[in-house]
Amino acid sequence: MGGRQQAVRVAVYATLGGWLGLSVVGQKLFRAPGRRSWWDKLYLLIPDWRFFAPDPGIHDFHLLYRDELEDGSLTPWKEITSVEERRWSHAFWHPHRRVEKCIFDISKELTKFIEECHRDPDRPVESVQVSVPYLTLLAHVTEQSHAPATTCTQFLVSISAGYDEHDEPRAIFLSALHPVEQLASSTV
Amino acid sequence: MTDRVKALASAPDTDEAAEVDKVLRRVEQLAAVGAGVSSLEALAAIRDVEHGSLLSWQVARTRFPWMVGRAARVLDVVFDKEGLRALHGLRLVSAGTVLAGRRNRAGKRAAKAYLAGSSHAMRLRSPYGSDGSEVLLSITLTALTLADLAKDDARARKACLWFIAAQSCLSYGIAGAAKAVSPVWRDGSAIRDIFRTKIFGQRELFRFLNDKPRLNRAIGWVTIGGEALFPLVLLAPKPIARGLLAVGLSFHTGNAVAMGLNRFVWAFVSTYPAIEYCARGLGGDRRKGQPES
Repeated sequence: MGGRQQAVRVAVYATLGGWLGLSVVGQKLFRAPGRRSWWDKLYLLIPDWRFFAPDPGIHDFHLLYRDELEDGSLTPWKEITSVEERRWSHAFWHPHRRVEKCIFDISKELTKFIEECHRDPDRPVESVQVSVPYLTLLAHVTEQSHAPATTCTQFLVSISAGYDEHDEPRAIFLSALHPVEQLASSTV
Repeated sequence: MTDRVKALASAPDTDEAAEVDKVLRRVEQLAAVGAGVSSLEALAAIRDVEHGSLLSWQVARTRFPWMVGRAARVLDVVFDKEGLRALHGLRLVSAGTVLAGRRNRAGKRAAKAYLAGSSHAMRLRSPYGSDGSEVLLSITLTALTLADLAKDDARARKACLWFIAAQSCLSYGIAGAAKAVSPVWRDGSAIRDIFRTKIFGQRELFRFLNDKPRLNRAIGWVTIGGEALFPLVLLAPKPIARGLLAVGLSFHTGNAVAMGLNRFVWAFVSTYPAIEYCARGLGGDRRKGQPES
């Protein structure tokens, strides 16, 4: 065996062995929602193989927004998330799955961020307003159509039980009111 | 005479190297289909990454400080809508190159490396909307790229197959264990409550499952058992090992139909040839120096 081949073999063994070892050690059956561990930060390298467990997603998340007008009145809430009804074709072809799942992932990250703030006295809860999930939702909401007299906009994340109509939907996060013009001129 | 003896002695090694190549080829074909479907879907839904959408690069770029530093000049081009269109277009070409015949080995190696690199890049761009199928596919494609780097070193290439099989079995085992420790999976309410959602469920299935707690519990335990026991495929005798692979395939097909998780089928099934190769009951014994009679 040549020196190069030997070196490549060692590199392959080390990479795969190290990666697999970290993947095994990094699996945590329970992860505290309000605590981001060292392992969580390595999410790009270490997979989380728990798939729908221990607490599966049992709610649909909804994003709504409303505007405050010049006279101080508020427009009715308007929902801007939509999910396609399940079809047979989704078994082969499901192009909008990513964007449909976004509100689920963003809401989870948003609530996790807030729980982290509650645990850490050095992190005021207002800091959520500069977090990636918050800014993502805000940027999305500001791109929606607004009445000409709109001065500020606000979003709401709510959860529902989907097809189970016995459970009432409930709000889980209400944003601050954000000036629309100011946002339009300073891209987040 | 000495050369003849040497040639005879190296024959099993040559056979094994050929078999490793064959298995890697099957893995890469299935993974290429998975990557191709994923990119085709991304291209069909390219409007979902437009400015102001939940998947836009506009805010995603602020996740890591270095993304808005010097790297921004490159990332802002690659990860914005038109950059992504090109990235996925090239992924489609790469998937096609991998699926095309055995010629152009250098081109195929480059295609696999690109598929692996771009899979990681997509996950780096934003975690939103991603799922475990993309994670597993990026792991498989990376292992295939490393197998290419090892060129004719059958042992190193074999290690890549073992890595793919191990990650796949680990994923099933952990998923099963995490469900086994969950009260909502053990009592079956997780099944009904997942299917009540529009994002993962189905209206008709929810109506059917809604008032059947025993059936939900049974499905919950079958899922726990199937996932937790799946890693035994590596040690089980042939009929059981075959059965576990069949259960796995049915599980992903069922999830694709009922939950719309289509990409999981390709990501997980692409690891099955590697599992089959490494499984003791499916040929592993024979390859451990016991030639067939």
